[in-house]
Amino acid sequence: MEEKNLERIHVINEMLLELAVGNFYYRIERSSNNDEVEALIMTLNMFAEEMQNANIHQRILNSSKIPLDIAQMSFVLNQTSLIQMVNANASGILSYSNDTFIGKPFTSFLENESALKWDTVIKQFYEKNLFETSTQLKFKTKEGLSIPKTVYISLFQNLKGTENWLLLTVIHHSSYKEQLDLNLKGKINNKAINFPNSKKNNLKQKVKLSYEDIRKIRTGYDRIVNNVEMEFPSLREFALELGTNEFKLKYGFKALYGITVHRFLIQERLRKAQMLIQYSDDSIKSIAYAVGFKSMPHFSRVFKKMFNYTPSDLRNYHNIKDNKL
Amino acid sequence: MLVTVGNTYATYELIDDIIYITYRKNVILNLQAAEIVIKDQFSLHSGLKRGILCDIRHVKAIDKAARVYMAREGSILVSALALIVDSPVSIMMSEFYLKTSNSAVPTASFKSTEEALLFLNKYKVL
Repeated sequence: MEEKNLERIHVINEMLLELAVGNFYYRIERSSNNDEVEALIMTLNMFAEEMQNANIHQRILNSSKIPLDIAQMSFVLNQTSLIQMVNANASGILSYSNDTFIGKPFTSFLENESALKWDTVIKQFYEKNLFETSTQLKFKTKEGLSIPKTVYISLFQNLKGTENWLLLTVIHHSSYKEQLDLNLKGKINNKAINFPNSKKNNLKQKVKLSYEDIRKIRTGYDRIVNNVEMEFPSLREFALELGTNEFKLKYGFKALYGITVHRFLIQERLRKAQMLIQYSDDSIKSIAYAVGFKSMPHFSRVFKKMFNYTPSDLRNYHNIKDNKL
Repeated sequence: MLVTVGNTYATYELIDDIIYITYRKNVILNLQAAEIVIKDQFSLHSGLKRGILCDIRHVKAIDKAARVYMAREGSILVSALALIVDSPVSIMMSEFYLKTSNSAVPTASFKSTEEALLFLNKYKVL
């Protein structure tokens, strides 16, 4: 028993080392034990999961080192473009487990348009007997988000020497590099102020957040989640309530959660409304008001936009389903 | 009034306006499971807010998507939530959930059903 526990502690240490260098994709296999060590293992797994999620949004990985370019995703494909190997980063970024990739067509992790493009590119690659090429593709995450990337393709012989395989490398250009490019662009144009996109570029600049700022923004996030029905103050007032300023709240919130404060509020209201329409007996109108909307037409419009069906469609569907049971 | 239902993940009982949810042994909860658990729970609400007594002593794991879904979507129509725990795993699971989910619903964990019921009855919707 003692030996078994030492083994488990060893695995925990390994996991902690991986976490320390920013590899949040690892999990410890769970056993049927239900003791203190098992509780620690479960907590570590959940902790890694939380960190992995935060990391996808904030891209804080190795932020102190500011790497210029890092290899983000690697895939090994056989001749028919079926995935043979994939690195952990790819599974983390695309939110699929490693096993999901193996043996699947590479195109199933691309947007439809890119999948068609891939077929053309790879056909030409083989026809022209190329060894290397690159192309722009849009990856599709499990959550349906799109990640546009340049993919570098190299040909190599598999270990047995029987088949030509492909190594695909996707490079991530860090914000530091982007910033350098942006500065250079500004200099070349020499008209940074009148540059048509200059305002947009400024908005994209990363806002510097202290831990205290992050804590305040998180409080704001929780306040929205738990009080969707509240009459929302102006962004400035909301920032003051949280003890921060409008700029930090606006750009910090977007940086942390990948969505604007206003859109998040609407999204949360609709999420709640969607559940209430299905499971409460309240009228749709009173649900709309209960989750903080001021007018029914506005509620119906944004609801339809988000879910592609109207509130009444959902209620009718649910009622029919219930009556059938 | 006693109403009972069940699915792969849990069994449910509605007793004195409180819904008792008992998770089955070694259950692993992901988003898909959470949706089923919540859907069956809500079928016992009859559109009303109710207290939930949730026995998580035998749950093996719950992933983030499921935690978020239960704390958000699962919190409508819930007046208060009492978690029944005893093993180290279930205690840490409830502590992790309480710390990270920031649910608007009053939630606490207990080692006995009696204590849990005292807590839930404080939030009873009359």
